[in-house]
Amino acid sequence: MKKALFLLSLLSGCALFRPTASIDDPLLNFYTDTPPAHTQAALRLTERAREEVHARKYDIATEHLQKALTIDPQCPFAYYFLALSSHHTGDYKKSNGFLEKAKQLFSFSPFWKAQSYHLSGLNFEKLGNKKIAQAQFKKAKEIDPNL
Amino acid sequence: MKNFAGFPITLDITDNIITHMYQKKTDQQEEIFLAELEPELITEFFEGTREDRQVVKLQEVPSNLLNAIISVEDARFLEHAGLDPRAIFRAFLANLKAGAVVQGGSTITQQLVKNFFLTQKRTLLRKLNEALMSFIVERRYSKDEILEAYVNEVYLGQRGSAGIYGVAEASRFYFSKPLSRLTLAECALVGGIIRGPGVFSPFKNKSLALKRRNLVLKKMLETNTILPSEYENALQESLRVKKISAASNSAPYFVDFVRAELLEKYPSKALTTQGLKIFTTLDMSFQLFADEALQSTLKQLELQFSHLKEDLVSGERLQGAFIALHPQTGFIRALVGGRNYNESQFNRIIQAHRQPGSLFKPLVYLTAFLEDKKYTLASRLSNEPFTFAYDRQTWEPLNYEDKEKKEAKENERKEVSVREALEQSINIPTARLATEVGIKKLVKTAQKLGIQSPLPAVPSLSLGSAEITPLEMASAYSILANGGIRALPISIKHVVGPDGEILEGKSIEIQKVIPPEAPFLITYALEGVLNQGTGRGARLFGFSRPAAGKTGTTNEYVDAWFAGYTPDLVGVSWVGFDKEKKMGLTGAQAALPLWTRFMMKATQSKPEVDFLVPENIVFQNIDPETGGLSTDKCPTSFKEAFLKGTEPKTVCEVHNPPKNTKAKKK
Repeated sequence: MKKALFLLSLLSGCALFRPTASIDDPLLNFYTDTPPAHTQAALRLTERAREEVHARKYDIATEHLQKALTIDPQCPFAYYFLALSSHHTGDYKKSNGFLEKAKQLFSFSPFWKAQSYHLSGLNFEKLGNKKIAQAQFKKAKEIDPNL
Repeated sequence: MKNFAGFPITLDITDNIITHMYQKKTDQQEEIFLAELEPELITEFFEGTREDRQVVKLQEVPSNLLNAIISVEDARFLEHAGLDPRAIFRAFLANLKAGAVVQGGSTITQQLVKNFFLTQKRTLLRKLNEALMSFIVERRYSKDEILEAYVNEVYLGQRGSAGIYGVAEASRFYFSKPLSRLTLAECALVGGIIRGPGVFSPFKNKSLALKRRNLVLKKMLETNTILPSEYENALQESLRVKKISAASNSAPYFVDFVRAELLEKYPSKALTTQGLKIFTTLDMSFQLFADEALQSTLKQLELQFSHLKEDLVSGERLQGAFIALHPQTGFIRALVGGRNYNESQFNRIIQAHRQPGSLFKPLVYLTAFLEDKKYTLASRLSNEPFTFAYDRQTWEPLNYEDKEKKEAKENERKEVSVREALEQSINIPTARLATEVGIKKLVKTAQKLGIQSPLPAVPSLSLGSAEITPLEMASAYSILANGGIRALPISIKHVVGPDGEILEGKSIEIQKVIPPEAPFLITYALEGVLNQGTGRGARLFGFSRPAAGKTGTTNEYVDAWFAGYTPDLVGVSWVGFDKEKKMGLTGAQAALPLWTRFMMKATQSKPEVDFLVPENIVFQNIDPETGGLSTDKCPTSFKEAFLKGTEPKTVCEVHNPPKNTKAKKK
């Protein structure tokens, strides 16, 4: 009995220490099935743009993300990083526009959907609309309590 | 054997898509992360307007042509020093007699100076400048140099918005042949056109052009540059001009659109002199597909329906226009503003305000879904004629069949579902719904969808009576395709300076304008238009991808429309006459074939995707006749989409009558 309890606590401990997803993870990891070729091509461009956003090269990142959308217009990650880029350049309204599409398309990934709501909350905060911002943060938590 | 320059690369291809690219380096492969192919050049901007010009040496110009020009424009060119006092005196007398400036005494040198350096305005100061500068030019340059500049500079006509400059381009434009192959009579015509390309162009007035040509030949005879026998033979030559060849740019209407947009920010001079490169959203293969689809559809219609053939008296031809948009980014992928840019530069996609007819109906249903949750695709609507009173007026909408026969069809059903009303494009239930929901609310929805043209809040608006451009319709349908999110239509991606620096980058801009559920319901019903409704011709034609669309036909069958979309591409086609005369064809007959031809080609190598179903949408099997939940007893069953909470809760009562009713009947 003691042995069983020990094993159970060990297992639950493992679950607690399981690494959580991060926005820097390979984007392909968030798909349960291998996505079609055009989606993969768009993801690779998006990953490139993600690095450019981190390096504050927003213009070039935007260009790559727009190109990713012409390859796969349903690529939610491209919308998310367009939103992140706009957020960093202070265009919060524009950022929210991209996030609306990201929220629609991230039905397969609670982690990213929650990230989208969270970023939207930050945008609304910057725009001075604290009530909507709180609602967005709340929704993000509902979708992904680990956020 | 060809020699290839460059470096060897390896491509990984899956489903027709290049997924990886590697460059071979010694013994290993290094991945090339992003290779940008050089975009295709659409056209170039020159100063003022776009110009078509071929520069030639004087020796390449036939002597007959040079003689023709000198004889008619400046007979003493080889003698004077830039000014011809005799010609000036003659012009002075003519002007005095007329009491206005009707004739000029300009020499070839003066004309050249004017074209190069001065304005076309007839003022005394300009004339003095022109005389002085002509004198200077004659002192500095030889007669041959002046003549060579003149034959390359002279304005000789107009191909669409592009001017025809120089005799070599004129030879190609009027006769489709090089200068070296011009006959004496053709040389005389080119020389004669210089005086007034708008008047003496053989494309505009053949008899005036012929008179002018013969006059030039006479002058050549008088100046002894041709023999009497040559003169006689040339007079006998009939005027054979070749139809204007196609413009050298594959997207002339789009280029005009881009140019207009650029002129809002950049001065005209900057576009032509600063070496700017404009990167646009156009997809050249889509553009070619669109143009091919438009040309072949209009040709086919004219063959099939003789009343549509060109009116030889007025010269009016059947017209068409097409635009393709990427709904997620707003990128304009193809734009054909008319049948022939050389004949008419009127861009029907952005300039033609026409009634959209039934193309507007989805907006009525969209408004109903947005405003009141009691409406679903299975809701029943009355199809019985009604009269609506407003502002001391009455309005009585009719169905198409009724309009034709002036009486109600006997077998017309008294009630139809929302889906049927949309799929079969039935007027009465649509108009009734619009009056129930409110016309002002309909106006508001249309404006949210990007329609900027004036929308009078009258009940006939519901059947598409307001005049709207195809671009606006494409923009509105894009929002349906994109789950309620609007991407502003854009044509320019970025403007790059001469040193490669990005002067202006236009990023996509999107905004949620309506929640995604209502546009999805409309899309789901409009898929039915293609599968079993008025747009089923697209399926018969072989277009099998998931797609939604709507036909549009206006009163008296004047305009034919089709607007349709896959999840990633929206296309709007219009066919009709510019003068709004009866065409006698429906949207399904005239505009749908154009849309289908384009979409089949444009989507053939693209992955097939389905429309995104929003989270709050549920599907239920219903009996289409009653709208109730279907059971095995119902003769037909249909999977209908509903906004969560609005789905039917009870089974179809017609085919599953309640037990107590049965008992009563017994």
